[in-house]
Amino acid sequence: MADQPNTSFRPSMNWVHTWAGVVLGALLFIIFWMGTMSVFDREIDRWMQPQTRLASPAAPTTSYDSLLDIARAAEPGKQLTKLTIGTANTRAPFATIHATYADKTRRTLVVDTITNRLIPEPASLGGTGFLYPMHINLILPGVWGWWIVMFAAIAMLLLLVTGVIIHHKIFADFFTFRPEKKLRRSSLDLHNLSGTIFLPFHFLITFSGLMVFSGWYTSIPWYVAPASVGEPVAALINEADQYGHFRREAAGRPGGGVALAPLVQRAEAIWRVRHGTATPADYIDIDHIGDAQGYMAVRGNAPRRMVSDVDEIVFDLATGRIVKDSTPTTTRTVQKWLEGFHLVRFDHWLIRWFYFIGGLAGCLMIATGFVFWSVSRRKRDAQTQPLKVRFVEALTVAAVSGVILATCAYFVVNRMIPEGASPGGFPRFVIEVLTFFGAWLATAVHAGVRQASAWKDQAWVIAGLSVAAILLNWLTTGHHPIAAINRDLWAIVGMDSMLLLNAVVAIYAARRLGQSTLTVGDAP
Amino acid sequence: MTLGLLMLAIVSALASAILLALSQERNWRIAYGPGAGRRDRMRRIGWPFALLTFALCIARDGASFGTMLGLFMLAAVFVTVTLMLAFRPRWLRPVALPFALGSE
Amino acid sequence: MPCRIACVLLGGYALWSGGAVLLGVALRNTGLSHTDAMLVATMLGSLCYVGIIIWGFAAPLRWRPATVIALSGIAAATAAAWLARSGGA
Repeated sequence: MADQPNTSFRPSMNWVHTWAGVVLGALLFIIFWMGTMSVFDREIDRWMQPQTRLASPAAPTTSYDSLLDIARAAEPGKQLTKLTIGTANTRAPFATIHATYADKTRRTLVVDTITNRLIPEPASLGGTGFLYPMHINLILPGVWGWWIVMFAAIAMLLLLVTGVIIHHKIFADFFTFRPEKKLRRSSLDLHNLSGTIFLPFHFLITFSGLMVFSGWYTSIPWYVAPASVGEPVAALINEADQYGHFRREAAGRPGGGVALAPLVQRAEAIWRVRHGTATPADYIDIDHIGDAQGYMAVRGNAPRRMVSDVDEIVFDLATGRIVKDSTPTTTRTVQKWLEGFHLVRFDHWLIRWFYFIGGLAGCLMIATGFVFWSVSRRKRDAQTQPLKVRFVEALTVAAVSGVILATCAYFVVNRMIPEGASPGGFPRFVIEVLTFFGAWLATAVHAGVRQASAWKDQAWVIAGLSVAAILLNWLTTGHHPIAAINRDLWAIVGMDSMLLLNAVVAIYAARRLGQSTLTVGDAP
Repeated sequence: MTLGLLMLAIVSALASAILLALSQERNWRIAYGPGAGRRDRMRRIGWPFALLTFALCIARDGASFGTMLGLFMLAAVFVTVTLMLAFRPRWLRPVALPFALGSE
Repeated sequence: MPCRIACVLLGGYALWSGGAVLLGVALRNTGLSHTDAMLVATMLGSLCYVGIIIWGFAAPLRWRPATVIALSGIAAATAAAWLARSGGA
């Protein structure tokens, strides 16, 4: 690492900005890209799991007691002890049930709440099962992924702050984009433009992401510290306390049996009055079913509030009485506002699309920052340090167009393998994930071999894969965009049009790159 | 009602972005040509339009969503105006006309 | 150079996490609830961490700020651990 210039504040910040960007830019791009995908994770689920493309329930289902019966019928002869229900909503029009039985058997059931019929569990992780976990912990084992993403978030905040400091004229950048200039200049224009215009969003989204797991992050040292030292502090900041979930032991004698639906309605009525807006139950946790100490925790999430689910009401299932009703403190509400802001669980389509655009702007900012660095360095260091320049360039291509390409490949392979097929003995969802990482690895190798030309090659492949994904979806499900519009499958319409847009942008990028020998960041 | 407020907010955001862009010398030259516009006046009108955008968005969606919507909407029109300046600068000329010096 | 960078980054993290425990305990004594105190402390702490890094790298990365950050990080983490062991937390 080059020594820091021996100068004053601003050049020092420039140095920090450059190095934090070059060292962590690839990681930040992956997190931003996966986060952007996660804005529409439920829609990606619908696209990748065609059996869940159901009509949205007109009214939220209330037949919670029949869900109990469905869970019992799924494992005849076994005693159902615990049940969690993710309720149906407009973006995921079915209930997801996790049932646990007395002999510790676990079952995941997906239920169409309009017909009360079981839907076969999808053989694809989709957006919520893969792209979203990649965003929050890179699906690394143990605490490593969480830790890496936390430091990446701190680095992102640092990059935003130092980026502002090293800028002379922030306001002038608002309107400056000169595509006709040399690549070095126009990529810097794009970097500054996307960075300044979306600065409030980028800062808030990074900070709120950090705050979703705030308690957990600062308690990391106490998890890895020796137990004798760590334990009391872990108790001070432990999650159970911070998140305040209700727990109690079973009594061991039979009891319970109160109807569930009226209790859930009671909770919803309480919240409606409290918040002045409809707050449907979105998560229900029933424990010790059939036991005298049985209870049901109902959590609500108001679709028209930024603050994400702070509400939890716990009912005693023997009497139907409320055992716990949490009213959040101001501090908690602030944290839950930040959490709601980050998790985008509210119902506001315009803002959801703006999140998507803001996320893409973040990807563009990171990618153009990289391009600016490598174009600037190529002249200066190509002779003296060819390996360094080559390495960072390959890293950039693999991190930017490689991740985009791997995501497209992930979509394509999902539509190529039929549901239930297991080529080579692997279930489909394993093949999908292997394809993602395989394609990614291939782009990295390709970038190392082809260098600057890799941008152009990969842009063509991205365009091809995007179009293939649209066609394959049509062939395998019959839901071409027009059919999707007619059936009100807006998730499919959105996904197909984004794939099409992706193809158009990739073709444009590939053609421009074909005309010049310079590299240009592929706007995703 | 909500659609109307949304349309008004978009118009107000556009007005704000165009005026603030033209109040910069470089952008004025690109969009209008030589000379300078009434920079102070454009800025004095441009900023209140930005505030009006927030007000309309908050009136439509409440404090939390409204503020977010206002921020995003301004970001979106700033990008739009920047792209217009880069590719179709003459489209901004009609807005510039009333602020050209010597046109009174 | 790598030594000083590590001092700033790791020392800063120790200062954040240890300091958050200390601040949380202090806030709790002013009457805030357990959970609230820790939330405020960690929220403020993460912003402070960014500030600490900026200060550490401010004028060219020198030994003095790096040492100050590393030492106070160790101090904060030790104090938090001591509080924990003594049951003061």
